[in-house]
Amino acid sequence: MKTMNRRQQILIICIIMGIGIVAILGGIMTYLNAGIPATTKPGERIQSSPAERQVTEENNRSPVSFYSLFLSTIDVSTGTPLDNVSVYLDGEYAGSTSEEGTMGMQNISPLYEGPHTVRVTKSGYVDYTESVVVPSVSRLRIELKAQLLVPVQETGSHNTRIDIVFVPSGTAYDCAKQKKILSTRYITDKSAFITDVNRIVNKTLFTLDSVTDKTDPIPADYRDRFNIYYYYDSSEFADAFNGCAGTVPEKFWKTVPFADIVIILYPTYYSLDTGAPCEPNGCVNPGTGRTWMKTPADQSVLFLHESGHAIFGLIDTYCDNTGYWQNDPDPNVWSSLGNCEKDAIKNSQDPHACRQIQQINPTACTKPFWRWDPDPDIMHDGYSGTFGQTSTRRITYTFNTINTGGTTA
Amino acid sequence: MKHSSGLVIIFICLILSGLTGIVTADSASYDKSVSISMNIDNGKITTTSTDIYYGSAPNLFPMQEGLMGELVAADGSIVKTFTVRDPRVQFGDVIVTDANGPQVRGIVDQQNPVDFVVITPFNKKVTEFRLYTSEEGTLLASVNLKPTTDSFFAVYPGDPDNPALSGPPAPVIADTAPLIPQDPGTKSSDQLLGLQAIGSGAVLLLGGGFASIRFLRKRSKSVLIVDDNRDIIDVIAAMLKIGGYTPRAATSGKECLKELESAVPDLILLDIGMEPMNGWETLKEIKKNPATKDILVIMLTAQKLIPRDVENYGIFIEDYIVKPVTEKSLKDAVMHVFARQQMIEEKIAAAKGTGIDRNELHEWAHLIRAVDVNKRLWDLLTKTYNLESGVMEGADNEITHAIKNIEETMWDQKHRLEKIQRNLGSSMCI
Repeated sequence: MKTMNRRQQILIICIIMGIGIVAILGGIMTYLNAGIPATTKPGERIQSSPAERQVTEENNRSPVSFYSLFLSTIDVSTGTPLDNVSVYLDGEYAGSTSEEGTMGMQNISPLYEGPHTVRVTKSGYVDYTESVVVPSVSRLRIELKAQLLVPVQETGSHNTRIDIVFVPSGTAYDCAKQKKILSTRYITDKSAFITDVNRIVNKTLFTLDSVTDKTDPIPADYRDRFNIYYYYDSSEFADAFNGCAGTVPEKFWKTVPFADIVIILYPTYYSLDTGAPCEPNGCVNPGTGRTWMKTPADQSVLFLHESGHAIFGLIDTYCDNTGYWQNDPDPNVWSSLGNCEKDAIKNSQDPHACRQIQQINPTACTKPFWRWDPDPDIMHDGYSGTFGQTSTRRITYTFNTINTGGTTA
Repeated sequence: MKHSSGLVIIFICLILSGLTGIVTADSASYDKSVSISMNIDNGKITTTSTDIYYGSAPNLFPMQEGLMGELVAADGSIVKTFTVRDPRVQFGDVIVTDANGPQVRGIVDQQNPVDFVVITPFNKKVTEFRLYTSEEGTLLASVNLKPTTDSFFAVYPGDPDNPALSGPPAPVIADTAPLIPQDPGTKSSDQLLGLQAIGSGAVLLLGGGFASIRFLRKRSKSVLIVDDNRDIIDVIAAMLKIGGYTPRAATSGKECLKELESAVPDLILLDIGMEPMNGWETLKEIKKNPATKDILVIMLTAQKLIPRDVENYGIFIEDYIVKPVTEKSLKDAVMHVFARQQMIEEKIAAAKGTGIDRNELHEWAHLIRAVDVNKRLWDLLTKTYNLESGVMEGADNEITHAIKNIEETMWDQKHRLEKIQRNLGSSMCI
C-alpha cells in the first residue's frame, strides 16, 4: 500500500467492497429464489433431480410436509463426536458431519414423511445403516465402531491393488499327536500377531525380487501393488485347522468384503510330519469372492509357496495328489510337452528344460503335466528354493493384470 | 511493514471468502458389490441368496481352472465373463520329513456339498448371473439379479445407479400444481449457496471496511518530540494535541533512534542541545538509515542559528524553531511543513502518467522543498543577525559571507526551479 497512492488505495478498496456487495446481493437473490419451488408452463418438460422427483410424486399423492432429521455421530468407545462422516440418505450422498459430529440432513435433501435409510461411512470405522421413519424420528444418534481392520500398507484403491488381509488363528496343529490344538499366542497377545505379520510380510511379499528370476524381473514397484491389512477381533479368531484351508469368522466377510486374499496365520506347526497322516501345513481355498489360505508364521518359504497358489495362480510342480492344469496365460505348468517347448522357444528359453512332473523316490509318481523351472523351485519344494523364470513371468502377469480378470464383452 | 499488512488483509479476505464455499465440498463413494451365495451338491447348484451391498468387491483375477461365470444384461448381451474356481476343492501342502529329507506332499480336499460365494462389482446393466462348466459349457446356474437390484434400490432410491433415476423425464409440474411447502428449518443446496455468497460478500465488505478505516481515514499526524527537558516536551505535546496532532516523546538522541525502530512518526521535533548525542548527531543517524531518512525533521533550539549549520544540515531539515516555543510558531511551522509535503505529493501524483520526465519531476520536488526551506532559514538568519537593517549584530564578516553564500545558493535554486516549472508547464507552478 505504501507504493500506491491514495487514489489507487481507494480504487482497490472500492473493488473489494464492490465484489462483496455483489456477492451479498447475489446470495440474497439465490437464497430467495431457492425458497420458491420451480414451476414450468404447461407443455414444458423438465428433468428433475431424484429428490425432486420423489417430492413431486409425493406431492401428487397428497399435500406433503417436510421434516428435519438431526444426526449426530459418535465414536462408541470414546463417546467423542466424529467429524467428516459421510452420510447417505436413501442411498444418495447427503453430505458429511461437521467438526461437532453433527449434521442436519435436511440441508441437502428434503425429508418427506415415511421410511428412510440412513447410511454412514467413515474410514477406519464399520459402516452403519439404519432405517428410520419420519417424522417419528427427528434425531438420530449413531455410534460408530472402530474397524477391526488395520492397514499395514495401503498404497491405492482396492480395485488397483492386491488386497491382502491377515487374520489370526486361535488354533495350531501338533502332528505328533495328530491333533488340532488351541494356540493362545495370538489370542492373548495381539502384538505378537502384529509382529508376526510384519515379519512375514518383510521376509516374503516385500522381498519377492530376491526370490524371483532376474531374466524378466517382476515390476520394480511390486511392493506398492499390494494393500496389506490385518484384522484382529479379540472376540473371534480364525480356525486354521477346521478343514484343509481353515475357516474365517463370518463377521469378517461382512466387514472386509474387498479382500482379494485372506491369510489365516497360525504361529507354528508342531512336530514335523514323519509319515503319519497329519493335517496340511498350508492350504488354499480358491474362489471368486472368497479366497483364503492358511500358513504358519514361522515358515517363510511355505508362505511363498501358498502365496504362489493363492495370489499368483501358480501350480504345484511336485508330483503327488494335488491339482494340475495348464494355468494360462504365462503358465508354470503345461498339459503337454509340446506346449511347454513352444512357450519356451517363444520366451527364448531352452525347450530341453521342459520335463514331466514325476517322482521316482520314494514312490513312483508321474503326471501328464510338464514343468520348466529348475530346482530348487519353490512350487516344487515348499521349504526352499526360488521362483524360476516361468513362475516369475506368471507373477509379473498377475501384478500387471490386477482387476482385469475375465473378459469384458 | 505497516503498509504490507494491507495486502495481507486483502489476501486473507479473499481466502476466507473462498473458503466459505470450499469447506463444504465433499465427495461420495457409491461402490457396490453383488454377492451370490450358492451351494453345490453333486454338481447341482442352488442359489441360497443374493445380495447387493455398499463396498468394494474383490478383484477379478486372471483366468483359472474351474467354472465360468457370465454377467448378462437385460437385452441378453454378455457384459463380462470370468472364471470361478471350483469351490469343492481345497489344495493343501504337507511338509514331510523322512529318510530322503523334507518333501512336500499334496492334499486335495474334496468337499461335497459345499457353500460358496461369488462376488462381483456392481454393474447397473447386469440383470443376470450365469455359471457354466468351463470345458463343456454346460449351464449350471442362472441367477436373476433384478429382484435383488430392485430391493436394493427400494431401500436406497437416491443412489445414482438406481435405474429408475435414469428413466424418462419426470412429469411436468404444472402452474396449478400446489407449491411445495418449505419447512422453515429446511435449506436447499441453492439456499446454502446463497448463504455462502452472502457470507463471502460480508467477509469482503468487512475486509474492505477495515482497510478503509486503516488506510483512508484522515488520521492525525504523529509528531515525535525529542528533548532532554521533560517540561519542554510536556508543553510542546500539549500544544500539538490542541492542534490535532498525536505527540510522542523521547528524552535523548539514543531514545529517539530506539523509538524510530518501533514506529515511524510523520515529523520529528529535534532539540539540538542534548547530551551526549546532540541534535545534529541524531539527525545524521536518522538520515543515514533508509527506513527513517524520509521523516520530516524540524530542529528545535534555544541557541542562535549559525550559517554553518544551515550549510551543513539545511538539506536534511524542514525548518528551525527557536525556543521559547510559542503555540503560534509551533503551529505555523508544523502546518507549513505538512502542507508543503502534501502539496509536493499531490503535484507529483497528478504529474505521473502525463509523460513528464521523471528526472525533471524529481528535481522539481527537490528544488521546491529546498528553496522553501532555505528561504525560511535565510529569513531566520537575517532576523537573528539583523541583516535587514544592514547592521550585523554580533556577526563577523565570516557569518555575513556565509549568509550571502546561502542567499546566492537560494537564488540559484530559485532560478533553476522557475526554469523547470516553465518546462513542466503551469500545473507545476505554485
